[in-house]
Formats: sequence, C-alpha cells, structure tokens
Amino acid sequence: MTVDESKLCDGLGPGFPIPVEITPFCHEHTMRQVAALDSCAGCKPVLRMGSSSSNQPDGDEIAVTDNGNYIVDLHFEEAIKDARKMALDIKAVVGVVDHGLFCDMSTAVIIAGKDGISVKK
Amino acid sequence: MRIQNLSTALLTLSLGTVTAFSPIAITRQSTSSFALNMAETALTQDELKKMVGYKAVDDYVKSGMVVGLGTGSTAYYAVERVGNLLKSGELKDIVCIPTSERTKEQALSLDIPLVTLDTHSKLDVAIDGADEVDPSLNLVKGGGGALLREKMVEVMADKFIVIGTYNNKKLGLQYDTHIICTHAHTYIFIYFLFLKFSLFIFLIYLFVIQNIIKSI
Repeated sequence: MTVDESKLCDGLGPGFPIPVEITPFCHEHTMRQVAALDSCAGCKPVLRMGSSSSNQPDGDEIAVTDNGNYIVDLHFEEAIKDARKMALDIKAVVGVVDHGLFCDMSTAVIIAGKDGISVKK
Repeated sequence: MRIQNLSTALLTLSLGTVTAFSPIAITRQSTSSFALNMAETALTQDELKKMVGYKAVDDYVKSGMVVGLGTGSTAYYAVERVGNLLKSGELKDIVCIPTSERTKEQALSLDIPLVTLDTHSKLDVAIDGADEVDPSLNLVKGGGGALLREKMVEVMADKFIVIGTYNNKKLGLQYDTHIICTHAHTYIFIYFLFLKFSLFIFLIYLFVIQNIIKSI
C-alpha cells in the first residue's frame, strides 16, 4: 500500500494518552511539574489507578509498575506539535523516570491488516 | 414495442452512466477495499497479531542473536514464535532480554534462555508492539505500563522492530486506519450509490414493461 503523506494523522496525542513513569515520592508535585511544561500545554494528567498494565482505572489503589514507580497518563485533546521536544522536556523533569514517547527509535513498523502485511521503514 | 425499446435504451444508458462515472481506478480500488474488508472480518485481531508477531521473528531473528522481547498482546506472539523456533531447532544460541515481569514469565514457560542488560548491553534486535505511531515512526508506548524497561532495552538494539495491527484501538497506528477508512468509505459509498441508481432505473424499466404487457 502506498502511504499518502497528506492523509497521515496530525500527530500523536489525541489517539492515546502519553504515559509518564514517575517516582512515588511526592508524585503529585511531579505530576504538576510535568503538566506545567510548555510542550505539554493543554494536557490533562491522570494518575494511573488499579492495574499498572492498563490505563483504564480498575482499582482504588495507585498502580505500581514492575520498577515500583507510579504512572501518569497525559491526555491530549489536540495533536502534539513537537513530540521530540516534548520527549526531552518531560525527561528533564526531576522525579520523572521515563515516558512512553519513543522518538527516532524504530527501524521498521510491520502492520497486519486489510491488505495483508505492510512494512514501513 | 417502441416503448420497450425506449426502456431498453434507458437501461443501457443507465448502465453506461454507471460505467462512465466510475473510472477504472476507482472501481478497482473499491472492489479491492471491499475484498480487503471481507478479509479482515475473516481474520480476528488475535490472528492478525499472531501473523505479524510471527513474521517479525521470521524476518529479523537469526541464530546467535541477543533479542529484546516486548510486552503486550502483540509482542506475546513474537515471544511465542521465538520459543517455538528454539524448540524446533530452527533457531540456536539465542539469548533474550524481557521487558517486563509478564514477558519474563512467558519466556521462562517456553524455555527461552534469558539474560539482562547487566551482562548484555548490546542487542541485535528487539521486537515490540506500540500504542500509536506517527508518520515519522515516532511511537507512543506504555499503555501496558512496561515503558521504562521497554525503552531501556529497545534503545540498545541495533534494530527495533515495531509490530501492530490496523483498526485496533489499543494498538493505535491511527494514521493507517485513517487512510484506509477515507479511501474505502468514499469508494464504497460511490460504488453503492451507482448500484442503487442502476437498480432504481431497472425497477422503472420493469414497471414500464409490466404496464405494456397489461395494456396489450
């Protein structure tokens, strides 16, 4: 399948919230720091509750990752303008362990679907 | 008789119009989209995940490699494939680094030899799913909560292979979904519009014939 660049979506964000792994120590403070970043303007930070393996709240306890940390899901209404900048800005907040933006890392994306399998590099 | 000829001409004209208004390219695409939709309903999401998970391993994992194992419902099948190929002997001397406790348990159940970044800082390949992909192949990951270990492992891989399926809310790939929907829906819409139009004309034709027969 040929990918028509003009028909690509505006960007990451509205389709799926961006998870940010933060230290449990003063997590509310860290959440505020992340949400206050210019590059995260307009986001709604939601602390992940229940199981850490789902971003749907499914419990009353704060979700804890394999590494003993918490996760904040950043919900966006509009497409993120500069994912690379946002990735750097979030990572620079003290208290953030890492985040779910993987920029310039993938070698190939293989997708199975209607027209069989397509590969994008 | 004259009226019947007229009706026949009308029918021919309506069919002709259908052909004239649907250029070959559109007809072909709408047909293929239709066929593809049929194909999609035939395969469940799990079957698609399995297909793509298996392909990634078959294409990129070779004997002797250090392999990063992703986390999630699609990566699950890649891990399964590595386990199967090791068991059958098609792959040898593989060591793997899991990106979560869940994947670690799955790999252990399949007797896949595991190591950590502490002993192996460089990986040949890592395979994992994604929650969303943008046109530059930037990803959002971590819906499943394993983002830190995934990133630590995958950033050290020579090749990072991302696998996913269309139309899967959880495994986004939103832009592809949009492309397919835009094309398919438009073409199918036009296609059915013409079908309805020609059917309408055909019914008028039958109605006219019936009246002629009655009058005779």
